Amino acid sequence: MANRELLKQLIETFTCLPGVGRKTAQRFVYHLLERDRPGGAALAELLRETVEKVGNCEHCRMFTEHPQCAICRDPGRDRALICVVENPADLMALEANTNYRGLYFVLHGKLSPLDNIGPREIGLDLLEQTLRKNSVRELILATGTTVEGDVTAHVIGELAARCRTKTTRIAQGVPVGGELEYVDASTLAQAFNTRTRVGGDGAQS
Amino acid sequence: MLVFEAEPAFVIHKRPYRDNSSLVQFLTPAHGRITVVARLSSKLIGKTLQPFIPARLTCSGRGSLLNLRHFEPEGAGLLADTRRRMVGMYVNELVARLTPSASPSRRLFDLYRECLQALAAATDAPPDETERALRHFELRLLDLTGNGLQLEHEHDTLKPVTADEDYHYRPGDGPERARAAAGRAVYRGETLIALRGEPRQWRDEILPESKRLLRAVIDHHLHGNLQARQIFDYLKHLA
Ligand SMILES: [Zn+2]
Repeated sequence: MANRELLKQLIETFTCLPGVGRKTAQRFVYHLLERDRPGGAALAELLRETVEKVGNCEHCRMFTEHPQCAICRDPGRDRALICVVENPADLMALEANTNYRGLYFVLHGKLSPLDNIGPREIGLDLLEQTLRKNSVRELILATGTTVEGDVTAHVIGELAARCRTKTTRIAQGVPVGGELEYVDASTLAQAFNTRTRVGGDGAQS
Repeated sequence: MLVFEAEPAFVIHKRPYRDNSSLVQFLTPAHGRITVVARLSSKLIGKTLQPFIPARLTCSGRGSLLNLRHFEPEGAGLLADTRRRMVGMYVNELVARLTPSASPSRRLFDLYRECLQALAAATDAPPDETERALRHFELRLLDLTGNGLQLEHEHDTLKPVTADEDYHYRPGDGPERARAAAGRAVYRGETLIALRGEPRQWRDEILPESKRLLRAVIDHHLHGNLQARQIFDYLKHLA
């Protein structure tokens, strides 16, 4: 009886993952039990450690188990460039498809009143602190072109203008209503290389 | 089984549901505010299911679960620039938080569409048509959701409101005569009387006070849970 309960619970728990329904969850669980118990044990151990130890980079909010993420710690990166993205997946997409060598800032979302995501939730306090240090030459806005992404870019553009930071926004190629994560590699690279200036009254030229 | 076909609709909100599907809130005249499962790729959803675009919606389903069958935008989005879209977000939040779901209302749909049209046409220069359109929308939305403002008489004495008197406003009840040093917001009788009439007859001078009044009333009904305002407040704090 106890076994049945555990199985049921585990299958149920796997369905918390995006794209994983009951059937897929069942397949995962049976696979681990039938073919790969050591793999299951390693997965359990690593999952536990990961959710326990991985937090946000104190500089860019990317996931990391260190105070600062690997990109922020890399002395070869240009610290005067910051690229603002909605999600870690967007950061990974830019890393994989562009030759950008600056730093990032991860919002972990976009301004969305009905999802209760406001300026505080996307970390604008931390971004403001960074911009106030006056060491940023260019802030690159790589948010999506949805209504929320657009409003988010506008608000961050205003913040940057206030901090006298030059701001650009990636433009050409990202489809209207597009989420960055789903843009194909060449479109993304093109969009990134043709970014355009945003607002920025009083910004450094 | 088709539940309805080519129904006029606006997207109010969408959120990811499972991979390759989203939960989308629509406002429609014949079915009210409804939530629909859209099984499209995220790319397609991002491209076509955007707020502020007049569209036609076809849904199938059984019971309370609706599935999106077809979504056809009719022309371009009404709010093109970011500032107007930000205001539109506020309007959408009011609709989502103040209206009951699945409660058909053609008047609500028409009010919403007219509000977007007014916002699209509004210029930034004074007189501020955006503020006027918003106050009109808020007042009528409160009416339609059974929270309409009582602007006729003092709720405690039943004396009619007069133009040159000062009042406090108790949401749900109505105006009461202002008392000195009560530490509560004060509204002029003139403002309360004007708000009974048509927006184009409102003098510009009553707009700031109307905004305060409606803000207080809406906060009362939503227990202060209005997130879009945080964005405006943040921008104001930057300026
Ligand atoms: Zn970092």
